[in-house]
Amino acid sequence: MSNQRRPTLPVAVAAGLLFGFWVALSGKLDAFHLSLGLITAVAVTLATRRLYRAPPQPMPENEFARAPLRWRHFLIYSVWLVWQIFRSAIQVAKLVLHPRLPIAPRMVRIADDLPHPIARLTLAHSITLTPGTVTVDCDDEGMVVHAIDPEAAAALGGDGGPMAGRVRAVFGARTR
Amino acid sequence: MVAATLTEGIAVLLLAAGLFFILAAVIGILRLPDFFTRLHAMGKCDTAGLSLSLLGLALLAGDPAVTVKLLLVLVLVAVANPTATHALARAASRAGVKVWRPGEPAEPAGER
Repeated sequence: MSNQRRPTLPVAVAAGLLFGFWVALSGKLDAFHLSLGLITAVAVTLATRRLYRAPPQPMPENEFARAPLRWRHFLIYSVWLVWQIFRSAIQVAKLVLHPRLPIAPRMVRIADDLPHPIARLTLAHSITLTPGTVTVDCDDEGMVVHAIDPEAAAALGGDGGPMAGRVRAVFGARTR
Repeated sequence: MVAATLTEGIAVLLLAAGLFFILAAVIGILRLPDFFTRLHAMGKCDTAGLSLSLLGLALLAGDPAVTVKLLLVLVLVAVANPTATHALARAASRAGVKVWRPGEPAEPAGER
């Protein structure tokens, strides 16, 4: 089966790019550092070769791929997400420093209807980075989320809540 | 001179805030009762703490090449941390790790 999966990036090209990155970062051009970089680049490429292959089935979302990412929404979303990371860090810090440790964790299931794997990945990561929730699993029916208290679970609603709407805005609503 | 001390002041504030979150993550690991709740401490406090520390260090680096490298590490942390958090959570869930409920004894740190 893996024979049918064609590489999206030839191994030599991938290793070359990594080697170039190494040289740019190290800035040292002597034989020792260059050979170390070459060995590392080839080893890393071979170890991660699996990642350079196209998925077994062609993605059904090719139509989506033609719809450009909405950069303005993407930018707004990124800034919002950075803010969320700090909000959630403050929230966890408050919880763990609270004398009574006021948590009531639970697993909740949400049904997402995002059309694209990358959109789902974005939602899953965003859930992990927002206060009180960590995405645990993801399947055809939706996602399993660990919520640290009932409020965090309620904020997700049954479908990702307002965050799913934000992700949808970034990736274009027309595929819905 | 004034500009240098202002930069240093901001850097010290960023480093102090970063260390606070890293400390909170450590306390979280020790106090929280089970695997999943500890993941919250690692996934969130650690990401914020490391990001703030790296920003502070980038301000202090002096050498622009070092600043760029530190910012690259920052991007790596921001992408890798939620990914690793999710990978751990998923592996634990599939291995049948139970969710802690209030009232139950805490799972001792270091087991599993």
